Amino acid sequence: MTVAICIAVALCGCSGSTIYSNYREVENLEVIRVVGIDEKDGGVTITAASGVGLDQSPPKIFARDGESISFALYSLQNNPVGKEPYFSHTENILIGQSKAESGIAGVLDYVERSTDMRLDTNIFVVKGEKAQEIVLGAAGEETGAADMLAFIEKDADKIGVGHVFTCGEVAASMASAGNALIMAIEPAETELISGGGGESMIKVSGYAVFENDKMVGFVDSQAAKGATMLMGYTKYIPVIVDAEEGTPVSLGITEIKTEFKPVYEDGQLENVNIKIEVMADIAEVDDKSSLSSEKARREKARLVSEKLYDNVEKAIEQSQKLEIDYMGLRDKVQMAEPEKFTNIRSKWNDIFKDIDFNISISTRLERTFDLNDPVSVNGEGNQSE
Amino acid sequence: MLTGKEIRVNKEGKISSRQLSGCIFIGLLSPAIRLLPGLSAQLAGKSAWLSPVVAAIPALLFLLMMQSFLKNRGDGEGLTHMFFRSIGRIPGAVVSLVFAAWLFVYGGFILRTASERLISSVYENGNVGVFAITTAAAAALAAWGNMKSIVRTAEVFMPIIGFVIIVVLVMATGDVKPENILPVSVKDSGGIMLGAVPIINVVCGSGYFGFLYEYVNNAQKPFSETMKKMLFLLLLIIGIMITTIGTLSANLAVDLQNPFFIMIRNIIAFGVIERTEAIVIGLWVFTDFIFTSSLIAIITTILKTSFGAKSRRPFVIPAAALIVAWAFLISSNAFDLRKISETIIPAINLLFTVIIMPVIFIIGKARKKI
Repeated sequence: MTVAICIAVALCGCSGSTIYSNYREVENLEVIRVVGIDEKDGGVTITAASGVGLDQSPPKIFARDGESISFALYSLQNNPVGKEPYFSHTENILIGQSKAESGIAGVLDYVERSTDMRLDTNIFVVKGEKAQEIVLGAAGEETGAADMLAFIEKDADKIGVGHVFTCGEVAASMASAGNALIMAIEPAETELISGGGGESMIKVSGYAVFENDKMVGFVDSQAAKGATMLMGYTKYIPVIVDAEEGTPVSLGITEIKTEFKPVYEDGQLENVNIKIEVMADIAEVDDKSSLSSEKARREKARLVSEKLYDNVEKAIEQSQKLEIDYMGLRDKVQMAEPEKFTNIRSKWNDIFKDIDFNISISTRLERTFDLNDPVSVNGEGNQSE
Repeated sequence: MLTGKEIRVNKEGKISSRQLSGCIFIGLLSPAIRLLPGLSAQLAGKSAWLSPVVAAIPALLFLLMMQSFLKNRGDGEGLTHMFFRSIGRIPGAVVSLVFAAWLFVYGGFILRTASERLISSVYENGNVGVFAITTAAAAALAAWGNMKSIVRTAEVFMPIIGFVIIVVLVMATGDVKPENILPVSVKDSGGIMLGAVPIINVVCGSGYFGFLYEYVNNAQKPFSETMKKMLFLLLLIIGIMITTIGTLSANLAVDLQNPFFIMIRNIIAFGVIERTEAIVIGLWVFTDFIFTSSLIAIITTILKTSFGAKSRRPFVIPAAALIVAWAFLISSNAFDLRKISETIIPAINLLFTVIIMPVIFIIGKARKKI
């Protein structure tokens, strides 16, 4: 039995002397964190970028053309580039716009089939540019595309600009609904006031919409906020509204509850009521805005609701205009009343483009943190109403 | 003074019903993880996670039948002896040998799928033959020894494997999207029942282990411990279905070779713990090893008892060699292997376990021989 277990252990790779060892010396590897994919004469151009080195060396970027992704990567691994590119830690895949328009089925196929890459790899579409350009543009002495995308992944949900989808999420959405959203990014310049100039960076620019595997349009930044809310990914949104006498009040949306209520008549879907409950905190007010009064708080909440309403309305409007239910509203309507939905499931795509979505948003202010009313500056203190 | 029954006591020493049930659990976990998420999703769609609940009833009936089948066995008697009693010595031996013949093919299939899985998930450019021969060699060594060695190994690994799978399932729960597994309506009941068929197929594989009751202490009630383990297995299958289909969606799970493994590859717990698949792959190899060595032990036990040999040991190496041969012969590529793993193999398995075994049981009961 001992011998048998030793053989089994060797087989499962726990031994350094296993027959098929995947062992590699770490100092000989160039750990790739970002892979850009662009269309090139019927084939692809692969741009592979590492992160900033542990010794603070700038990111290394390699590029190869190939008839397919696997051929380009094979070429990259087999033609010396200093170190062996190692793709098992690829965190982000960037698709150039022209490649996105011609189809990404091959990209998803490669990731699903590969023993190196994973379905939880983030995927982005580079709006109006080639993926290679954004990777090259972002590379600096102390930063690179990998670091910037890591920041976007970490904070996009938190600041409400969108959701970073993974290859798995996109593949699942395409397999079940025939469409998907992918976060769109584009190059931008930072407004750096020190050091004599701006730096290249990457910014979020809404979503790219895919039908089957081809990109058919973009969701702009405002609609993307609404879409992210409806899909349930929003974790925090900073909102600024004009309160009394035009003075701005800054709030943070901390929680959003969305409820879908389809209205059926004679088995036909008449409209869908979307009820959104928002919880918000006060982040900053000036001295003219009162918070002690219930009426004043309600007014600020109303203004928040109005602002969010515009985002949601625009998200639905753009989706219906494209005639693609890329936010997966079908599943949400179905979940509300599964039995009734069964009769219209096959007709959903036709119904979706014309159906009325009645949006109602109610906002509740939860807290004002350590300060009740704005700081008193008139020498007499605040008087509670 | 020795009685007739005592003379039949196997020299290998006794194992307990609980130990054997652990071996059954570990053995069946391998096909359960490999086959079920994809195949049940194909048959039942997003409601596949309810199929184990439906499968529990026929599975329980099958296990009760096995319990009744072996209840009145004598000391040192297993399923082969109960076949002898039910339908006569010669017909019983012939049927048992047909079972052994099928288990050669099935063992080859298990060996081949285990090897293919290592290539498709880790060793991209590996050679199926090397993996098949190495696993078979390890399994043959285990089967060559005392039955106690196999079941104790399973006994040791069962809590480890069970714990790791539960931890993995808990970690994966956060990625489950409700719309991928809900809603479920009455109209899904047909699919749910269809999805139960491959689950019944896996659980009824426990019937083959009835042949190993020759080594189980006669004082213990057969298959009672196995029922508990199979209930645990069904609960794990529900968890596996919910996390796999809930994360990947039924449509995507159907397209993947090993959806449960792909789901595990995507797990990131608390934003820091990831790449847990290495542990699962390592433990998965052990389930294949236990299952293959158990199948060799079952085959050699049938051959020993049917031919009236003193020991099963002379049959071990030829049996392992034949299983390796079947691993090569069973299909020429992974496409055919997947096709037969979803159609021919389950069909023949069900023929042996839920048709032939019950028929012999009914004959034995009718003749009041068991």
